[in-house]
Amino acid sequence: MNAVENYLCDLEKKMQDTLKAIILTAKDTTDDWNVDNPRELWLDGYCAQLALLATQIVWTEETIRTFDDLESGSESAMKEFLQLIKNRISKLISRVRGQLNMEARVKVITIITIDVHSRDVIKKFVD
Amino acid sequence: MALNDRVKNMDVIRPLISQLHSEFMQPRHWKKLNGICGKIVNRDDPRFCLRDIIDLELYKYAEDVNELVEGAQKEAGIEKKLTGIVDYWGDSTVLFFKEYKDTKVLDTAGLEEIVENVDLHSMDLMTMNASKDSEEFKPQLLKWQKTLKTIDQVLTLWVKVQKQWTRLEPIFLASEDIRAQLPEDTKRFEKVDAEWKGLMGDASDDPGVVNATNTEGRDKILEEFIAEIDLCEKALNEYLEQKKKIFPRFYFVSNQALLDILSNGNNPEKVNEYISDCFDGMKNMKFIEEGNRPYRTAQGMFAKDGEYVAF
Repeated sequence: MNAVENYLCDLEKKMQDTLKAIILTAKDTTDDWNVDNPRELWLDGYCAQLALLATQIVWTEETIRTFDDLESGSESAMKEFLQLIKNRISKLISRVRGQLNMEARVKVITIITIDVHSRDVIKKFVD
Repeated sequence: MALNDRVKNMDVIRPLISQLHSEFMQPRHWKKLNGICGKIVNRDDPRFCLRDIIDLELYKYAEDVNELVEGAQKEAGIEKKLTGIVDYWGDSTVLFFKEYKDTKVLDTAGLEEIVENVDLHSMDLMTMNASKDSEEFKPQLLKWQKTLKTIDQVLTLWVKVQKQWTRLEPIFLASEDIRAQLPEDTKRFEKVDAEWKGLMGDASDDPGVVNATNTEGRDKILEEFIAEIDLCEKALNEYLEQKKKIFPRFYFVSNQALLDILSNGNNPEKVNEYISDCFDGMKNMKFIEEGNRPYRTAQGMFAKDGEYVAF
């Protein structure tokens, strides 16, 4: 058997690779939010930190896209985006009101918290 | 001499005589009195009588006599104190030992009182030594000052060796991994270990504090132990440092834990207990439970809050 300090290095590498693979899948599958796997259910498939990370990446991309839309003349783009975020938050809130195990509950509540921050940022842009 | 004067002198002499009665007047003080008065008087002579004292014409030396008697009293005080100290450090004040594995070690709980008294008595001896009335006891005072200093030094070394030895003993004598990796230092430690156990045996056979610590060369051998054990510890730390360089998360665990990890390197289930110390937020690994234990292949990881991620 390999020396412990070596196989622990391998283990660390394996952890990193695993998490990287998961975040890539998580990010890719966010495309399905508007198809057959809405965000509030999509997050069940991923561990909390990575689900949160993926939603943050998506929010950043969406914010950039909204600014682009604004520039190309769509004046209501930012307002529409704000409404989208509000809708997403409502859906998460309805999940928290239902039956959830502790692990999922912590995950959803954390995402709601971050979503609320995102909403406030966008609201400032609208105002 | 006029009667008047004789009466006056007698007035001075009477209290002086009563002073010379002091229980603290030793023969050596009477000899001194002879010196002061320039006359010989022998107190132990059966014919010794008041006349002899009066003949000393003490009224001439009233102050000297006062001083002599006062000095005698102080000397007696010093002597009493010194005797007390010497008595304390007799055979009844011993080092306590307790069983530890197959050998004996100092019971450090019992040391406190000894160390306290070493300090206390050293101070006393110093004060006595500084007193001008201690001339008579100088050699003894110096001898005991030296003895107490040795007790203090040797006990300090002794406790230090014991601490080091207790820390490294389970590593160099019991950890097969370390014994294989550091054969030279294992040998070095084994030699110290044997001598240390011998010394503890000798000391517990003759546990009087003075004997145990003032035995010729005991401080030297203890210092040697410390030097040798230091070398062993240095080699051990270097070895651990190598491992830490390879897997830096080992810096997060104590040396004791790291030794445990290293010696259980071929038992991943055992190593699993330390995963949470190396990886913040991790609890442990989930193993594929097939074949013989210990299981060797992990299939996923648990976070501290219970969340599971498969590899």
